[in-house]
Amino acid sequence: MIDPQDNKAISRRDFLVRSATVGAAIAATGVVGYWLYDRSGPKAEIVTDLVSLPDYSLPQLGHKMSIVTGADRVKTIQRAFASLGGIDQFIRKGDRVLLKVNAAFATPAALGATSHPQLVAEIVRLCLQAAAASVIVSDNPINDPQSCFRLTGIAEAAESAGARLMLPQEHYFKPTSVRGGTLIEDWPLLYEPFRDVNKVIGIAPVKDHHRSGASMSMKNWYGLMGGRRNVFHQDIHNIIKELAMLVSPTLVVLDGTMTMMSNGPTGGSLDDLKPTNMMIVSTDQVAADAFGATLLGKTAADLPYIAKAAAAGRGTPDYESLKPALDHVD
Amino acid sequence: MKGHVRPHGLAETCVGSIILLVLLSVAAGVFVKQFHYDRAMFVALTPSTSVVKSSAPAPSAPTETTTTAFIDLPGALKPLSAPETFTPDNLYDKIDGKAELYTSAGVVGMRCQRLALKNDPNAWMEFFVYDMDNLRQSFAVYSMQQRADAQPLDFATYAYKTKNALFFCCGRYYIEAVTAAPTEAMMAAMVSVSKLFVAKHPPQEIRVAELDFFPREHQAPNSYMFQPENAFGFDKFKNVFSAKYTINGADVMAFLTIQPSAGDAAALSAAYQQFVLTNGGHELAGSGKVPTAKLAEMMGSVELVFARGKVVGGVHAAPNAEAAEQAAALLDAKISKATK
Repeated sequence: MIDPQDNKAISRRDFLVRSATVGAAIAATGVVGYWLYDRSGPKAEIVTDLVSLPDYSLPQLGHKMSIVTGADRVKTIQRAFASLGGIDQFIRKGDRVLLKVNAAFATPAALGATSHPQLVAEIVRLCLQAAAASVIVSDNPINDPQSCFRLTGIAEAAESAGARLMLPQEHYFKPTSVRGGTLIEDWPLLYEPFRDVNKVIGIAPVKDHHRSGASMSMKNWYGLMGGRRNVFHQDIHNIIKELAMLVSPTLVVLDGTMTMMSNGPTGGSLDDLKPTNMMIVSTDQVAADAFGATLLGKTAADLPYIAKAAAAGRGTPDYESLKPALDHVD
Repeated sequence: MKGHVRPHGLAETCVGSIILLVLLSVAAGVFVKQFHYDRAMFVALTPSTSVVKSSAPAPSAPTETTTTAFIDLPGALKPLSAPETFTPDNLYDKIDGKAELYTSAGVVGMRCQRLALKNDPNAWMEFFVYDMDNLRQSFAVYSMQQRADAQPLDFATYAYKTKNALFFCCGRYYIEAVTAAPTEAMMAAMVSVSKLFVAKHPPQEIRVAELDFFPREHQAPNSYMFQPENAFGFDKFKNVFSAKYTINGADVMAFLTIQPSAGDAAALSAAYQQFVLTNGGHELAGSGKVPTAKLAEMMGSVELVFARGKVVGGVHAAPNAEAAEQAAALLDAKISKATK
């Protein structure tokens, strides 16, 4: 309650003193705020806890590639590994394997926009058959990862084959930079699935892509990026090159059983797909993509990122120089 | 006078001190925390969603658990998931690299939802509504993605279906309905829900007038295309319509764009010819079938451009000059007739 006597009691002098005090306090607050105001915003810190991915390749095996024709993914992937001397050339007892799939969209496998669950399951099975200690399946689809993994059929296929699914979570990301790169600098990487593995296999379908012309083995690593990664689409060929510099996989598996010839990378209509019946396994991701380009009716020269990745020492676009093992299964 | 000021009590002093201490603690906490935030997480988790500007039909208070449909559904369908809403800023989250196609054509927003057959919940489709702001822009993304084996549908001016999907323009909206279970029941439900959408959102415009300038003879079906920007790599070519033709066994693409005046059309025609010549083209002599036509050979194919009144017309990437001139003559005649 306000005492009316108090109000009456205040003098002109008191009023002026109090007004001046309040005014000075407000002015002081403004001065302090102005003094602390940082016009340029937060600056890039010198980050000392950047992570980087080790080299998962097996240089002693050299650059190898197999191409198997056939419509049955299970049979073609089995034969593709057999043509390279068996999966145990690459996966040894006790290995901890990460399968980086393409689960970018919550669409059924039949639409060809994602890694096929049958293929994922068979590779999990082959790894475990080779006595791998563990197999992890992961990707960062951004929008609703649970739906993406569930509706593509990858979640069920991977888990029923014995793999552990790692859906992206906030604390799975760590900042990384690519040495010699200009785009991937202090950028969040889906790191946790890599933390305890010693072998990495990329599994990607062959697809048309609106921006890059194609989405295959190297573009598949895009799914490891966090943040607002769409900014990289403005420089799509260089970002794919840097992704190839970021990840040195043990193997890549490029699924050209059904190729998305147009309207990629989402597709939508079965008319966008063409049965090309090819399964490619390679230790050289550049060579795999160079061959994959032919399934899209293109050449490696049509996809600038292939030459850029080759120039960065990530492989050769001359896939024939690898003398690919060719085979066929009915 | 001072004696009239009520002295502070002990309780007031204590409460005031406590409040000041709390405020100081908060300020100190903010000050310290600002130097220790996790930048990686800050970037990784920055939501890309911004304010939704779309005027596409809005879901009623969408939440993760909402299963009401954002569109009218026929009796055979039920919602399978909550509606999702995307802006030009985060459309990428849903459709990855294809977002550029829509953003460059002026997309305002997109809503989508999974719908299932009531009697077979395992059979589901996804219904996408892209708000493209106007018919021309919805036609642009429609035309750029047309499938070769499209079967026309009659409930909208620009509508077709494929084995498992349905695509159409409804005024400012471009709609896709996609399923991996293309049973007869699902495809029928897909058509039904699309018809309901058209009925609920009757378009103000139903035809793209410029398409009437294209001759029908020798025209390949489903070959219309609209490129709002940078057609054929030429940055001055905006709002370019095209259609494909097969003339004497040669496949050619005829195109046109309408300018504010005849002078602008003539200038643009000359600028395109210059663009072709400065990019390795060599001028060719024409036969005069189209009086203002300029021809050039570039990288093994022929480019032709002409002006007719306010219209710039032409032929892109023809296999030879004869086919280019024949297609151009047909186009010129139709433009001349349509603009009389």
